[in-house]
Order: sequence, then structure tokens, then C-alpha cells
Amino acid sequence: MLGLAFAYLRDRSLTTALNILLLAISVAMLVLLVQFSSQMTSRLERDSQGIDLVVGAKGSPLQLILSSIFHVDQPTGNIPFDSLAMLRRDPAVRAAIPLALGDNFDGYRIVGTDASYVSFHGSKIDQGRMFETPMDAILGAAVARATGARLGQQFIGSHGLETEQADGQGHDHAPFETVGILAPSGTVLDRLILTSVESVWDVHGIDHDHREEPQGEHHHDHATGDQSQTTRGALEPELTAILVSYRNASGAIRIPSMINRQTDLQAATPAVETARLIALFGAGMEGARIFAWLLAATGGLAIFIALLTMARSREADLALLRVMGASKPQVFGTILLEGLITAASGAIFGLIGAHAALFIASRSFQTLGELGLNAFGFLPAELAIVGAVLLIGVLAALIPAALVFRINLARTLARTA
Amino acid sequence: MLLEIDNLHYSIDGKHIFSDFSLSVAERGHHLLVGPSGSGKTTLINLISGLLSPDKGMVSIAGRNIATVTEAERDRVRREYIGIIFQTLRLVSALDLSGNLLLAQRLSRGATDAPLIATLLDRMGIAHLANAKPYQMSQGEAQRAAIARALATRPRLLIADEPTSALDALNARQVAELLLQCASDFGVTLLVATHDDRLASVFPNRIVLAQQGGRAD
Repeated sequence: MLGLAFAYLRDRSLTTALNILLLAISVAMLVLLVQFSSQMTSRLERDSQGIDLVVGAKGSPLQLILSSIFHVDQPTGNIPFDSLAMLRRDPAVRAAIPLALGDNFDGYRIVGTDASYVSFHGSKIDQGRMFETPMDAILGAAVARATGARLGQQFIGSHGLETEQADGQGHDHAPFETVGILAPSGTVLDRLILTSVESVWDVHGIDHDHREEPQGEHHHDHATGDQSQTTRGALEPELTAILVSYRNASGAIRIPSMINRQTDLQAATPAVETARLIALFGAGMEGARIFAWLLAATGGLAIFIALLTMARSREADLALLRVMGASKPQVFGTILLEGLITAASGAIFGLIGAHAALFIASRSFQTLGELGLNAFGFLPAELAIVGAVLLIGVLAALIPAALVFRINLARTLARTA
Repeated sequence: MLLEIDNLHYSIDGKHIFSDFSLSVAERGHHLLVGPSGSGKTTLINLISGLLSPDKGMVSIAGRNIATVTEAERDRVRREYIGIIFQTLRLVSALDLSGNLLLAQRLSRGATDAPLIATLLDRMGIAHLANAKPYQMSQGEAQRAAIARALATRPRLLIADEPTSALDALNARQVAELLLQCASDFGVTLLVATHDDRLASVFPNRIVLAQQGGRAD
């Protein structure tokens, strides 16, 4: 009877195709929503894990979080280098990690930081070694894969944080050398190029040789001196942001307010900002989700109407099947199968379409690519969506199929014979 | 006897169609069931094929009284013993000719017999229409296809209800002769209900239905 169900569907191919399309669109929308929601949430949680506070220039706290933790937005500005030492001196601070942004290579952000940034994210060196001297660079796993870079190769960063923003000015005078490649960690580090803060300063011609090494900072060979004694004029060594992890709960009470009191600095709490982002995101998602389910219900209604019309117009056909020896359950099952096949086709095409859209989106939109959107991950919720759509198909076919039990064979045959 | 009807009573809305009607048809016999419109030819065919249940009496197919069994059992007897040809309702619309014959075999026997289908299509002169849909056939071709579909299940009793009334004289005669020839060749008992006088000369035996009851000539 499966072959017969397919034959009936082929017989009214246009209606079948439209019904499948309706369901496929709704399934694709629902899968995309589930995927975006799940991947965004887990990405936000994973990348911000362990970071209690971000200190940066005044501006939007959400922008500060997005640019410093997730590396998807523009920084709010720069902050004095001394802020790092101030935070590291605070007994409530367990770790303060400097970030200096400004350049990219092939669209991947070059981040000036220190070794603690790598260990903080639980990542480790897969090949080569950690950056030690200025212009040493280590590549995230995704960067190395995408650029095909190997150890010992040199590359030149471009000004700006994204390829489109690059002003075309390569820092030819200061090439980086790849000294290490990170193992894949599933964090933002996969998509970053890490180097020392001093490298970023050197690239931009910022003198830092006379600066005081912050407490606990790496052992780059700097001469100590007064901050004001910069030798190259107005360019002061600065940072873009500092990622802070508290030693104890008292830090959460005292440090943000202390930072926000300073005129140049703002403190943004990742937990608060990501929750706000998810809430903002969630409101839009909810609307889209309702629309997608309405679309699925419309698809179910279309199947119902198509099968009901079919069952009525083909009453003679169904009667002939019964005369040929098909039992009532067999004919009932054939119509039910038509609904199920339509729904299953819609679900399959929807799933394929959603994942293809994810793949294309991750390749086409840099921001999504930078977020590490995975097009080929399958979530249990997708199975639930498929199950629900199959159920819609079966329910839509139930009443038309039940008409089989009401067909009076002799009367139908007398009417049509 | 392949078909035995005894003391059959059947009425519709209080109107008696059959009262104490009896009939015996031997295996491999070829009979023409004739009578005017309203004489109950189609009703009798429906009672024989188990599409209707009699009010009283016995309808036995190959020794199995289908008057007293469940609908599922009547379906089974029809599936295994009977092939039916209608005037216009001939094939399942969504399937091509081969598909119709294969489906009929699968429903009846649970298996297909492609060589038999090829033989039947060849015999009916419609082998070239194996992949044609019903709407692509002429009336005469469709009726031959319906005969092939009914014979494809190797029935012991082939029933045709007004098989020629929609055909012109030439096609009607050809279809009647084809029915008789195939019934002989395949060893099938044939019962043709018609009000078409043109078939009287073709069939050796006639069963005449009056308003009530009937008799075999």
C-alpha cells in the first residue's frame, strides 16, 4: 500500500509539493530557531565561563561584553594600561587578563594578551610554543585550519577588526611569526590570533619600553620608568579591556562600583549582559517560533483539505480498491500514509534546508562565522520538531482516512458504475 | 457447484428485491444474467460478491456461505475467488495499467506474477498500454484492461456487471467474445449481467431475472 500512497501523491503532485513546501518551511524555521537559540546560549555561556567582570572604556556595557568576550562587536574604546596593575593589586581579584585589540589577519582578530588568557579558557598549545617575545603569535585551531598557516610562517596584520573594516594598511614593518597553534577548545580562542600586548603596541608604533611591568605580568624585557616618559610623543600604551575573575564574593560587591566611579572606566558583568542579550534575543525568537508553529498548523490544514477532497472525489477509487480485495484498514492506512509521507517529506526537506541555511549563513556572514555557528550539529529538540510535524500529518489524515469506514460499497459502485 | 444461492431474501427500504430466490452455477459455466432495469441484476452481483448481505438465505461460493460470515471474511472470499468487472469503474486512477494489475495480484494473492500480467496484456491487445494511466485509454481499451485486471488474480468466478453498455456495437461484441474466450482459456466460471440484447447470441446460457426471483434457461 506504500506504493499506492506514493502513486496517489504523485497523481496530485502540485498539491503535494505545496503541502511539503509549507511544512518544510515551518520545520526549517523551527530548526533554525532551536539551533540559533541553543548555539548562541551555549556559546555565550562557554565563552564567558569564569569571567566575572569586564573592565573597559565607557560606553555600552553589552558592546563591551560582545567585543571583549565574544569578539563580535567593536570595542567601546581604550583604557589606561595602569588599570591592569590597579586590578591585579586588589586582593579580591583572582585574575586580571589584559586584552589589546585593533588588528586582524584574514578577518581573524589579533588579540594582545598574556598566557593566562589561554589557560583561563582551558586551552593548550597543540603545536609549537606559547608566545614569548614581541611579534610571536599563536593561532587558534580554526584560524590555522582556515588560513593553512604553519609554524615559522610570518604574516602581516591589517588595521581594523574585520576584513571589511581593514583600511588596506598592512603593518608591513612589523610582521608576526607563528610560533604555536592551539588545540581546538570549542571556545572563542579557536577563532583568534593571540600575541603579547607589547606586540600590538609595537605594531602601532606605541612606545612601551619605559613602562612599569604590572604585578604578576609576563617577563618581557622592559625598562622601568615613569609612564609620562614616553619617547614617541602622544601615543600612550593602552589596553582595550581587562577580563576579571574574583577571588571571593566581596569582589562582586566592591569592584564594579569602584570601577564605575572612575571617569575613564566602566565595569560590565557578563552574567547580567548575556542574560539581557538572551532575553532580547528570546523575545524575537518567541515571535518567530509562534509564527513557525502557525505555519506548521497551516501545513497540517492543507494536508487535511487535500486528503479530504481526495477521499471524497476518489470515493469510487477507494471502493474499487475494496472490491479488489483491500481491507478497510488497508485503505485507511493508505490515506494515513499519504499524510505521513507528506509530513515526513516536509520534515526531511525542512531539516536539510535548515542545516544548509546554517552552513551558508556561517560562510556568508562573518559575524555568524565568528560565533562558530555549527551547521552540522543535531539537537534532540529537532527530533521533537520532526515528531510533532509527523503527528500533524497523521492527525490531518485521520478524518479523511476514517471516511473509508463510511463508504457504502454497493451504493458507491451503483453510483459510479 | 461453484456458486449456490438458496432461499435468498433481500429487500431495500421494505421493497422486496429477492424472495426465495435460488440459483446454481457449475464450475467453469458461462452465464448471461439478463433482465430489465430494476430487476436486481446489480443487487444480485453485489450479494454474490459479498458487497451486500442478504436478509435471509444462503449464498455459497466454493462451499463457503458468505451470507453468515463477517465483513472481513466476505472480503477474504471475494479476494480469493472472485474477479469483478464494472461498466465504467475499471482501474485505480493513480496507477498505470501494469500497476493496477500488480496491485490486484498483491491484494489477492500477496504476491505478483509478472509473466501472467504480460500474457494477459498481450492477450487483450493492450500490451502497448502497460505504462498508460486509465485516462489515457479509450473506452474499449479500458474495458479490456478491466478484464485483464480481474483475471490477473486468477479468480474462479469472474463477474461482469454491464461490461458492454458503454461500448459501441463492434467493441461490445469484441469484449463479450474476449470475455468468453478468456473464461474458457483460464478455466474461469463467468457470470455476465446485462440488459444488452446484443450479447444474447454470444452466450450459451442465460439466467433471466424478472422483478422477483429468477430462473436459468
